[in-house]
Amino acid sequence: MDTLLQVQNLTKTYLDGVTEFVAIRQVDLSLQAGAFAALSGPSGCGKTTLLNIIGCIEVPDGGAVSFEGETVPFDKMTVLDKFRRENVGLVFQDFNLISVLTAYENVELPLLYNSKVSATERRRRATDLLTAVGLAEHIHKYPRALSGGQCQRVAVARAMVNHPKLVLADEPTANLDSQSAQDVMGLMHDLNEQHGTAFLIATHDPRVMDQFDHNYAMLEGQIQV
Amino acid sequence: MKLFHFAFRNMWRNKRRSVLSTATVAFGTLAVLVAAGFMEYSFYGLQETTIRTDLGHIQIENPAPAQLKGGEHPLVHGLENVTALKKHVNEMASVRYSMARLELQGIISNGEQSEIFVGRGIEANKEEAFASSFAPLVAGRGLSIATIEEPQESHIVLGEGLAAKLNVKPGDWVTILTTTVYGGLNGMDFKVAGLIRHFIPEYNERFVMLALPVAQELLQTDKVSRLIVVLRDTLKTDTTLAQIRAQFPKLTVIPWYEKATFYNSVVSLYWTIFGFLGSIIFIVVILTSFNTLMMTVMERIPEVGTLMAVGIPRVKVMWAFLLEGGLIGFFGALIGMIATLGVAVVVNLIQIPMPPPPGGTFGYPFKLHLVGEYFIMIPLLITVACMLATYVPARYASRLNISWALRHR
Repeated sequence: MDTLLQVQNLTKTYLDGVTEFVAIRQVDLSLQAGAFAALSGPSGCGKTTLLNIIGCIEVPDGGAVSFEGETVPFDKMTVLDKFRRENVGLVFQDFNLISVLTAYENVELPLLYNSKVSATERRRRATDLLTAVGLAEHIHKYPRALSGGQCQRVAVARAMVNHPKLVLADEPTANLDSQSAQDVMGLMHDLNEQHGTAFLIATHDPRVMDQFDHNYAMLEGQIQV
Repeated sequence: MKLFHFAFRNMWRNKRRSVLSTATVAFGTLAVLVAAGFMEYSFYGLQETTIRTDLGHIQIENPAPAQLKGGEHPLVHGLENVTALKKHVNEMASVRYSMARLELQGIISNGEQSEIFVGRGIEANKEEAFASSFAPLVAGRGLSIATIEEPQESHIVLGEGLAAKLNVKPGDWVTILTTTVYGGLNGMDFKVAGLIRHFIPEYNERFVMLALPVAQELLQTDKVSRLIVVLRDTLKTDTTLAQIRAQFPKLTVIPWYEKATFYNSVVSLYWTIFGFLGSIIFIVVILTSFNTLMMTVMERIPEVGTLMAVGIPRVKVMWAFLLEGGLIGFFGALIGMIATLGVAVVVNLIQIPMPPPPGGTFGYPFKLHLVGEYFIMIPLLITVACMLATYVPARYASRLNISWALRHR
């Protein structure tokens, strides 16, 4: 398989008042296209920071990220926004659905400003994905009318709607009961197999660890070899 | 789901706050439109009073020298053969009619007491029809009726203030002394036909009106001071002015507004006051919108982070907030407009009496003169102002660090 993502020597430091806090240090990581990988480790080990940098919503202090062989230009905000929009899907621990939009509208949202996708195609993709995640009967419901598991499935559909090559999920099962956690993991695995989309999932949930092809274990800002 | 739709739904997330903001904008719009309506009504009333009691729509005169020669009477430069001029002017479509006037000054006496007067020889039937409701007759008869009823007598109409000073009433006799165009002194006895109330107090205490032929006889001239042109519609003043100037290039043709010093001062004063009050209202509206949208942005920081994280361009995030502010402005302005229409109907029906304005002898009812342009311009301005007020919070939202926004609680 081709290498989709290459992370080299990545470092990120936060300043907490006058104290420096190193979130990740000299991280190297390589992810194959179509992989279904975990990024595991205790809270505060740097999983979210690493995902945020790979997802281009945070800028590293040092190191480089290559996507399909191209270096990600962290110094160009608009290019970064476009890159993220076209290549990366994001799933959050708290679902982060927009409360005034229905499930359908939440899924459709990332496509609204993708000029390559027509309105008809947009509708088709959003409807198909919601059907695929088992929410065909709930597409016009608002997030407040959905359960946590259903909300996370909407969030997964939203992450997939742009046909990204990589989905980054940050603790997607942390706020779910066991059954919902298993359902959501199963759903992401199915999508990974059906669409060939790579998934990198940050988790420290022991209930789901056995489902990954590969596990990158993190500790104190570094990936354990 | 478009940006506009998104903004509209967001607007109702915090109903109480949105309703309060919308109400503030609505009251602001109402206040500005009502103030503008009253101002326009006042302008209209003062304009018509000025035209009908004094200036007419257009005045035609002979060009006067910058300075009169020593002892020269102004009427030496008066209009001659005014009948032919009137005929030409009256043929214009926008002209209702024209009437000659002769200005005179002198001394008026009741035999025991004398006062200085400023007078006018008039074509009584036309002047009375033109000005009757703006310089109302408060006692006796008008000149035209008195002349018909008692053709053998010379009649005069006095300002009620002058009549009070002279202690005369309709039916009493007064004597007028003035200088003729040749410089001699001439006098005539007049029977007081009636008393009028002029809008301007100074005029009220000095003003007399007599029939034009009598005034000409008194001044020993067949000339008149000027021809007053009365139009069918005040709005036709400029077009008619151009026509008359083109036809009579040797005459001086003056529109009412060039001589309406008092009117122009009042308009200028009112606009200054209105501008000041309007600015305050706009500032209140802007601050309210700013506050509402700033609170809104602060509440939705994680959501803003999500929008940008899933690929919504930053500029669209900014527009979503700008539109939200614009919608509050639009709905507020719309409600304000409807409320203004309701207030106008009620106020114009009730006709609340107002005290005389400074420099006036009688009050007028509080009425609103609604102008279509204001109903477009003011709500549009308020809507744009609300959007502009939203700019700072909207820009703040669009420049948030995404990961910080996502973490924000």
